[in-house]
Amino acid sequence: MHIMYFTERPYRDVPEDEVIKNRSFFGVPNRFYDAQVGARLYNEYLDEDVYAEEVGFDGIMLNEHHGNPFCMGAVMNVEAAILARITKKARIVLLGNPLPVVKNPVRLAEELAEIDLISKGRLVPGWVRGAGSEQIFNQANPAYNREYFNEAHDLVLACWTKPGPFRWEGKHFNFRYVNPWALPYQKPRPPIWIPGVISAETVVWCAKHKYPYIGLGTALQSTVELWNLYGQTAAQEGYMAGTENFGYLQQIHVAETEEEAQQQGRAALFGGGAANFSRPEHTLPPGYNSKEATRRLAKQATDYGFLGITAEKLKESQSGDVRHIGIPKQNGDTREKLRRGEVSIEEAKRKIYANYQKAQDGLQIIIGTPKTVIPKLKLIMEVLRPGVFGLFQANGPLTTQQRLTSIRLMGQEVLPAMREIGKGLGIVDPFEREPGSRPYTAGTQYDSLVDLEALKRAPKRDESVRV
Amino acid sequence: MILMYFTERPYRDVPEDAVIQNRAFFGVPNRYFDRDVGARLYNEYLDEMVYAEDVGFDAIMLNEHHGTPFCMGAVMNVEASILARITKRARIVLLGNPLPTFKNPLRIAEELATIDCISHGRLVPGWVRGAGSEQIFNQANPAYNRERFEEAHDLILAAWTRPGPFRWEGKHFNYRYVNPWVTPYQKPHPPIMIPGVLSPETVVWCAQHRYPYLGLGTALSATAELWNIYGDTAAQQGYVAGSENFGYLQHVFVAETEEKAQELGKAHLFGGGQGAFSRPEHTLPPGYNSKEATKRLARTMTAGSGGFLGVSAEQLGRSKTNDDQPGNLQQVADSTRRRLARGEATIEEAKAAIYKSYQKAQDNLQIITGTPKTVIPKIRTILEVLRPGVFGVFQSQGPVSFEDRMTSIRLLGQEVLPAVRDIAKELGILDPFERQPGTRPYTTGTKRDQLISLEALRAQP
Repeated sequence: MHIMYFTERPYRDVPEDEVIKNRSFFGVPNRFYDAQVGARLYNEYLDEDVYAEEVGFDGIMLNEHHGNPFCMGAVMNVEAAILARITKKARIVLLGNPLPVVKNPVRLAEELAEIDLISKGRLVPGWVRGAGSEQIFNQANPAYNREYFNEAHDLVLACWTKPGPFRWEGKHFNFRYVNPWALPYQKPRPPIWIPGVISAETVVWCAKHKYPYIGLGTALQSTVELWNLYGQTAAQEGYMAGTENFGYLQQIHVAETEEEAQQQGRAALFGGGAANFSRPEHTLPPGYNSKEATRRLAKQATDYGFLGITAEKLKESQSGDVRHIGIPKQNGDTREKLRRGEVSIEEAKRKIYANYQKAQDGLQIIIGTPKTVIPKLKLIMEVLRPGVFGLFQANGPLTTQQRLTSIRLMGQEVLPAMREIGKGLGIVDPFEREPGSRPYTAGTQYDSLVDLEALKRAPKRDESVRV
Repeated sequence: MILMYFTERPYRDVPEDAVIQNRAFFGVPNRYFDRDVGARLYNEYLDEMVYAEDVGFDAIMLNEHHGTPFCMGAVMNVEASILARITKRARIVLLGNPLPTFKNPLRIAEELATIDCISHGRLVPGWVRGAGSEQIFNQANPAYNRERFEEAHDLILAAWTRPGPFRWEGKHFNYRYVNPWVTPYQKPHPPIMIPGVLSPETVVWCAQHRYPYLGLGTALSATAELWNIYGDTAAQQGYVAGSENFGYLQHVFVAETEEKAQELGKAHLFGGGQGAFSRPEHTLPPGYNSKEATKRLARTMTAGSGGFLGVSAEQLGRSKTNDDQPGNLQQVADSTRRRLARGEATIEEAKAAIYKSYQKAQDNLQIITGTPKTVIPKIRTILEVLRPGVFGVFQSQGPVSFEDRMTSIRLLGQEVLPAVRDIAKELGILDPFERQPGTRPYTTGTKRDQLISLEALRAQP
């Protein structure tokens, strides 16, 4: 079992009213950024990462978003570089570098090789396509998103594994002389993991590359379907997928007492939470998804929304009713009313926080004492059997002390319990068993990747609740 | 006086013969890179920088080169990030980020703002056009080098100082929505310094922007000429330039005894030293310089000017070298390179020629090697001639052990730095943090400050 600590490194001092007025975190003008606060927060988050390693986490996960108080890791490789030097044993897991917006993949290959070397082989690079807002921010044409992603991925791997000098003449990238001096510490290359939010295309791509797939807090029912799709693809590729091929990220906050936990945990809903990451028109710009992927998304995203996208929004965007494009119902309903001035900021906030209990019931967020959160984590582990488990520290205006207490309690009580549970369930992680190393014989039954019996015991998410 | 510690972070274990055979550091195939050596070196260099801060350096300088064992800082912002967290008070001076090779300058603006915040405002970003080899490595069209430099510079400064969101529609960069969440700690923006190797265009540009200009070990006479160009431009811009507008980088290696220093100091010539940085055809690809700049370069770079990064006066047809009696490191590199290419010299002969120039390189101050007692007078000469407010000490390049490098840093801290500070005080040298560059108005028709000492220069070999 590989257990990771994760935080979005939110700028917690952004005025909540500004986020709500802007109808998303992405797009809040940078005049609300105070460099003194930023300097303190960056360093506190690094302190948290170091502390997480001390209390027993196996990995520190980072992510990257641009122009957004939701996540200060605009160039997460800065933090990864620091962690390479100031941590001692934890894996540094990047989920992930947004390949389509990077524009010079050879430079990225150099950068990550340096970090892997400085950390003496503790880097786990991961790749993402980047949310739509990253394409807008970095002026990366969404129509070429998948092509950029694939070609940049191939080029970075070639930099790492093909002796230089060589020539690269692709569709989007051309380099006459590829010969980076510093190459990664890990041979033949660092292990690669891929995070995702219910894109079947990505799951199939991961399975083909034998890369572990990390579900980012996605609803259990849809995640189970994806795990099975991965397993089928793996079998077609001639290998057996197992727990080593999967990971899951869960938002959580732990405190000493249930009262404190419940009081503090509301912070996860601050500003509308991840559901208010960016407006739908920024999350899914035209061309970002193929027609086929959009259709599949509309079919699958029935009970879950992410980064501002919901099934309703997708259905409406397919209906041709342009008035509704980009304006989902439910939370989005509030967004639209805000835009029209039909609802006050105070009312919008009330609506957001009214979902707190339901969000807990649906396991979107897990809040409590070690004693109350462990059974919930156990249920997720039973259903999904992930070899990698990321604990996502709640966003929002928690104090530094509350965050550190949460980390301490996880280290003291939650992590040991999870390791026991993992052991009992026979869960092995990608370092214990190399993903894709077990051959599959055609016609035989492959390992069961999920527990459908456990899924029956899992609560169903309320469609109207998005965090 | 700002005293900086600098090392190229060389991959010191590269086989010297492979470098000489390749006739340059740039282009040595990466099969010679060993991960265990690389991992150790990156961390030792960080140890050195932390130690340099401990012994009293005011700043740590980093630079960036791609695809070369000469400098492992291919993405120096990785090291800058780490320094932001593991050092406490030293300035982190980046000389510099190669703007024309960046395809997404907005990302660099975010990256540097993050580093400035983590360091609580200790970042000094600097910009370079990048050597020709960086253009080749990064597939950056050399013909647009200057344009890309200027536009990327303007965009980054706008990202830092102009409230977002705004739109940027340039010739080379277009962004519909510029609104980086994180902006720098230092307001209105971090102080900027620009390094250079004798390009008057860059000097004029610096003077116009009031950015301090740092000469990278350039020959004293040629550097003095450039200081005057800066001073004249400053006067035209309406301000008086002074020591706060200038910096200089000097190779210095110190040991406990003169014998040891002389023995170890040779390492700076390893592989041909800086003169073998890259082959001339890679350093100056077609289009990299304007016709005018190339003409000016040929004119400025006389036989005595030393040359840099693989380009010398000879390459530009400016003077002839007697292969038996090379005058400086660049000429040595050139002549050996030519002879190697023609098969007229063996690798052993090439090496012999390189190391033969050791004494001469010390005589003309290209490298300063000795005990604290013997190096201080030489540094004094440079301070007297150029009066730089920023002085960078460039640690030895070649196969000197980690221990000997640390000894050099210790001796610099214990004896050289205090002496240099006293000399600077005596000479009335102020640095850019003591006096903001460009803050003293110039009255037309008056005589501007003397920026260099011609007397001290004449006293020079």
